[in-house]
Amino acid sequence: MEKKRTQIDEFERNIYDIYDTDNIEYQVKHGLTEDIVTEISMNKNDPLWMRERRLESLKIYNEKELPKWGPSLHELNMDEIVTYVRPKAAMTDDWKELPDDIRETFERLGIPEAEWKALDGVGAQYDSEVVYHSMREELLKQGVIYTDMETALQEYGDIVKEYFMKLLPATEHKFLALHGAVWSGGSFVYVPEGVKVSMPLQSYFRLNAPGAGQFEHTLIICEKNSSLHFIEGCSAPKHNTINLHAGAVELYVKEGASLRYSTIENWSKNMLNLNTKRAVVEKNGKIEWVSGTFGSHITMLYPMSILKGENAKSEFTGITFAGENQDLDTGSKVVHAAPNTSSTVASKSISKNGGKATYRSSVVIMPQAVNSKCSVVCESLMLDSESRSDTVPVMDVRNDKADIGHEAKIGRISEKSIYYLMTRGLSEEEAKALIVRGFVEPVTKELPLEYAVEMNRLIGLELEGSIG
Amino acid sequence: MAITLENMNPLQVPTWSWLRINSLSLEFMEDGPSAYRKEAKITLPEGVQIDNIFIGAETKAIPDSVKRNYEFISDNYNSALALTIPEGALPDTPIIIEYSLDEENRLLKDYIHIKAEKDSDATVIIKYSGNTKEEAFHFGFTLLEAEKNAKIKIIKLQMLPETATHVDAVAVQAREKAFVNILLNELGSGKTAGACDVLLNSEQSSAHLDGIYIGKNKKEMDLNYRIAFGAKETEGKITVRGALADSSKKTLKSTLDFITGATGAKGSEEETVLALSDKAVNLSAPLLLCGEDNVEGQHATSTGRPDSDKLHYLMCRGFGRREAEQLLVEASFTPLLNKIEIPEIREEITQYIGASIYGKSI
Repeated sequence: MEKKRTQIDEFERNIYDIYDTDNIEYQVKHGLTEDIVTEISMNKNDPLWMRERRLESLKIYNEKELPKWGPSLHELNMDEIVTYVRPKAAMTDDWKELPDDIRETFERLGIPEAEWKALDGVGAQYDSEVVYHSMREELLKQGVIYTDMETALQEYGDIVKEYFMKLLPATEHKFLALHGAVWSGGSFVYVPEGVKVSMPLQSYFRLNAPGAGQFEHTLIICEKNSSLHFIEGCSAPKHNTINLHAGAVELYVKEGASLRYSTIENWSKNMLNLNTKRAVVEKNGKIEWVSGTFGSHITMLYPMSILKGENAKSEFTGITFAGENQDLDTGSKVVHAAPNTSSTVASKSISKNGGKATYRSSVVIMPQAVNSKCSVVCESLMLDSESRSDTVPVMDVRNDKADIGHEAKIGRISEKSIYYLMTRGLSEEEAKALIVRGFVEPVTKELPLEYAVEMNRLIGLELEGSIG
Repeated sequence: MAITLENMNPLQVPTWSWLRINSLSLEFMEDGPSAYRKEAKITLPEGVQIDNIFIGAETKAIPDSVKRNYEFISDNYNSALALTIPEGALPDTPIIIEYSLDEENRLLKDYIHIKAEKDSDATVIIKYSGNTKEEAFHFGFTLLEAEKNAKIKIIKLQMLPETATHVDAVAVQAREKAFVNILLNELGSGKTAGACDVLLNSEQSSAHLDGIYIGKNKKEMDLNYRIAFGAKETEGKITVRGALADSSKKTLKSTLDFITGATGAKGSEEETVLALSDKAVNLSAPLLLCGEDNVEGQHATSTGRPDSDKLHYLMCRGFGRREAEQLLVEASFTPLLNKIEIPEIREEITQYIGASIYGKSI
């Protein structure tokens, strides 16, 4: 008798796939030229230094080659991408002031509701511009700044100039150079020394226009002994053309500070998601990455922690779910650059229906990072033999006083585990559901309840059939 | 004159170029008066046949990871051997092939073809050593075809002088229910580019790929090991133990590759590295590639100093710190060395390791 495999259905995308028409106020021409970059800069009223950086980034973009590793990006044709789309909405701090269709989109996604229940502040970006931003009064009094990047550039120009793309230089790779040239929107967060932000801040990025690119820039500075949980969500309706996301996230975690950066990514399956995220962590500081990658056609995303100060810590917890026509190349990078630093990586992936999930990582232990510790654990669940799951980790250890451990597992759901649970009274279906929920639990438990529920909904754990 | 060998030891799935792990380029000596002209010293048990001929393979049968090696050796070899272990042969002593470099024979390019016929069971020891103060080069390629039910162990001992560049590859094709154990001892030379690619392309074939390496002085090693599971119920295991002293540098790329259709395959890989110097550089890339859901694959890598509790225990029992550390280093290799049935060879390796890292063996 042929055995059935465990099935994990993909989630219903209905609420994500609703496309708002006719809400574009202005957009630049297709393609990427000096004129277009200058036009974006003029439109945004950039200071001169920013305009010069954009044009310098464009030059670098034109000189850089596409990466010679990872998923094929042959479907990307920059001549067909619109790099800036301004919606018909001015930025506000009142949801009611947004145009109906844009407000309804965010309501369907549950953003205003989440704000009332569980957030200290919300930013919502629609195509290339942030359309909504607000923060609780108490945080304002404590000196916390949470605003869109354009406002930050005008009002806190010196701070932005000091940090902007210093951690992510345009010279590093082609898509950072692209970002440097055409970035628009994103969030700026400044948490003063000693301030603990009790509830998370959230920025949500919605890309609505077909054939458009979204290039938001997130810059977070947590001063000494401060703490923050920042949540990033993203989605887009499905179009028949390629959309591009090349955002950038720069996180500065100062001495004794802690920052948790959570992402639930649910781009549509025509999206090329080429995002770059990096944190630098100083003495006794801590960065925690929680990352759920569900959507997109292609993703290349590897959040990086640079542990620059003694006792700095990094934790990465991630899950990737690759279905039909998806090539999700995700993972993490850690550089231990100071003594007594520690890092952990826990990565999970599920692949089905011909989806490809790749875990790619690097751990570098510098000569000065004595007594550092790193533990990497990655597990991959394959649900059929049309899919692929690859693990490509590299460890580069340059001192003898470091403990480095790496473990990886790949395979189906264990029949023994099913059998064990069934001997304890669970039905086969219940046993399988429990095991898969247990598989993703290390990620969901790191999220606030509302987001854990959303993630479980995204995975849509509907199981049928038997194992083996 | 030197020639440059490009794109050697390619990583099965390329990654970030800044890690400098995707492939290797190295300089190699061109033919000249120092080319190896001696006969290999061969110890042959009864019933086993060896000839001085080149028996090639179809290029498409050679895996990509060692294809560059094969192309080079088939055009440039200066020693070729074809070893046949006949059907059902069970020689009670190992087949031993020894090459020794000296001042007049400093450029060895050897190709060894091993055909292990059905139901044969044998051990082949291939040893490279030498004593030359001048630059020396070894380029080797060993192709093993293990037929149905064959049980073959290949032990390679590389004890070349520090002046040597050593480029070596082993390619294995295992037929139904064959079991292959490859034990690679990368102990000597100043530069090493070692590769082994095992293709389990018939049902229930299995392989153990074991590696021992030591790094000392400024030695550079680039090792590329792979087991490909290409048929049902195949099993494979990569186990590597190493120690890195002084300013040595090691790169190990180890890959378990589950090819679609290899249902019921099981694979594991494990590397344990003892770091003995704050100047040593240790790169590891343990790849797990999977195109089949009904498999079990896992890998584990650990890097660190010799266990401090064990060191303390030994020092409490009268050993000096250096002796205690040396005992732990030697002990870490023991599980793999115990697979060598011949005590003299085990002892020779242990002595060599002790002398290399600590100047003497305990």
